[in-house]
Amino acid sequence: MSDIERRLREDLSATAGAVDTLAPPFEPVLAESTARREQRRSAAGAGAGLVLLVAVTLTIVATNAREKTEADPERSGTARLAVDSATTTIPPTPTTRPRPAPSPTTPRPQPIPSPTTVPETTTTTTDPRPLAQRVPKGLWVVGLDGRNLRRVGEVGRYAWSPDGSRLAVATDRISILSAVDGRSLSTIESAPTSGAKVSCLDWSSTGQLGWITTDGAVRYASASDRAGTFVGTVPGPLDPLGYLADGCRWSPDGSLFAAPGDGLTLFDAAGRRVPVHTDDAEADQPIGRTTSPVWAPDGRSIALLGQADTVAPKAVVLSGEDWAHAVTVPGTNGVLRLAWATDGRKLFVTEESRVSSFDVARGTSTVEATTCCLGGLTPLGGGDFVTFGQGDAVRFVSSSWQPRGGLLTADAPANRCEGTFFATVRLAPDGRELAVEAQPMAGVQCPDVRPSP
Amino acid sequence: MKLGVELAPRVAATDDLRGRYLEEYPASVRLAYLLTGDRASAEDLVQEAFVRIFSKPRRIQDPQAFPAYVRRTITNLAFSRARSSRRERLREERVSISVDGEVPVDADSRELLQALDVLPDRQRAAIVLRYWLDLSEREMADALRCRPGTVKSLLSRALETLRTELAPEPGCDAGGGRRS
Repeated sequence: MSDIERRLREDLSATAGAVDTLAPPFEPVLAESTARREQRRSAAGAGAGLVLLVAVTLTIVATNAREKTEADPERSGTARLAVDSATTTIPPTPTTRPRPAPSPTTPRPQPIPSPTTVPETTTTTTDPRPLAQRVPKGLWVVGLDGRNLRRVGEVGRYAWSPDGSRLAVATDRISILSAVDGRSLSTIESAPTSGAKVSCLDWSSTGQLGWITTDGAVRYASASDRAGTFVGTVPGPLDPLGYLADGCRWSPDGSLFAAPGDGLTLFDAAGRRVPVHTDDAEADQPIGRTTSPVWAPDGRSIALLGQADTVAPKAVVLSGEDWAHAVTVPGTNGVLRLAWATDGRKLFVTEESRVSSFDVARGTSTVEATTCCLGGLTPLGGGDFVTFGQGDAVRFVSSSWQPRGGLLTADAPANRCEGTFFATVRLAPDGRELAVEAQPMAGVQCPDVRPSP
Repeated sequence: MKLGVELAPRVAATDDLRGRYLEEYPASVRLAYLLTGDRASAEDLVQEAFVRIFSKPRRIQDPQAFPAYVRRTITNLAFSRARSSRRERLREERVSISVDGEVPVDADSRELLQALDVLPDRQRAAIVLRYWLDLSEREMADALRCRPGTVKSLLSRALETLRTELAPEPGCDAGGGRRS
């Protein structure tokens, strides 16, 4: 091997090794590929229809010509030939496959220095209702009045500080950022020895950060620490729902850390395991892999998504001694998100096309809204929500948006809509702002979105 | 539950695709980066490649052939995009400014990327496929959609150019231009 070949091997390997290879969420890729397949099918159908239309037209022309020929004997020879030609050149089936529509490409948003104001906000529509703003890839914060939209960091798992002034954002490490301007305040090594990525993190009301890395390790730290303290491991797999998973959560009083995985693992604030007996669940089948635990406001119940084998995720509420009392929310399958009402009486269950509320005391469910392709829901109190669409391109809010006016939904079929989509939305502890994680997805831009009436 | 049972085959198929995606993504984005020299373009390109691949599920039934199919799709997409003016613009930006989110590479890697930029696209791809992925000539020919003899020719011409591009500048200390 020559020197140049040796050097190429070394340098190509080093250069490739510097690339961050964390795969973006799979679901938007799948959704887009499905949409394109359907688009091709439609195009094929349209092509066949076109051929049929041509055939019918030519037949009519031929029939007219024949009638005309019979009425005009002088031209009969030429006319007969034309008729035969017309009728015999019609292909019975399309001989060439219709070309699919050209794949849409969207210029990738240029990287924006952090923090920044919104680069493109104005969209026009004849509809007088409020307009939306588009946001490119990144972590964004916006007031509930739609004002002060700003980019504060890169895409990553994140959590609000208890006072709402900072955000912990996990990229290759955990950065503590100012929620006001995105300024980096400190960093914490998330997995000093293994280099594993952060799968989820949360910030307790008592100021303790807890996170789980993709190797299942659980660590705690305070915002001023340089590295986390290893607490234990949880059985995998983590994040069975991919980007939809909203990982681990501290209980409202900061005394318990809920770690999803294979079953549910609870740790106390000192890192000791707390017994959980979900095997004794009253559910009609094992809880299976879990994700997205959410604590009731009083901390005495925890709802989560459980997925056993190939069955779609379902919602389960655990409570009681050793968390052994389990109630499966009836009629749910393929649940995407859970959220407690602020009074803790109801659990909002977001499925692909509807939001239901489950009255925990009565054990009854009510459909609150039916819409397409929801990805998540954040209750605002007083019976209002903010929702965001799965696979939606992005928008957030104009100054005239009135979030307390009701449910917000996109007005376009979400899975055909590309550009950027919301992965997570988290309300600040003071309830005045939202953080939004906007993940990239290449493709065409989406139509405007507006609050539903 | 009835709904769950009905969904089961679809969920299993989706899990299979998800598994393939997660398995192939790291190598794919690295390949795309070496072919384009730009992280954002590489991520876009890989995402587009998987969208195209998964939109034609009949072509990916053989798991053994899947990695090669992904490589071929990425290589072809890289060629297509390189023909557009967009890449030229990105290349100029990359040279002139430090872009937020760029891959943090050392001086040697930067020099390599600049040298690869000089190569025609197919020669660049041949270098990457040979010396990074360590593919055989037959596998390279499959990825590049050409004959094995063409692969040899592409490699030969590319190496000749790179010898010049990566040669130490006159006057430099022989040992000072490279890391040890």
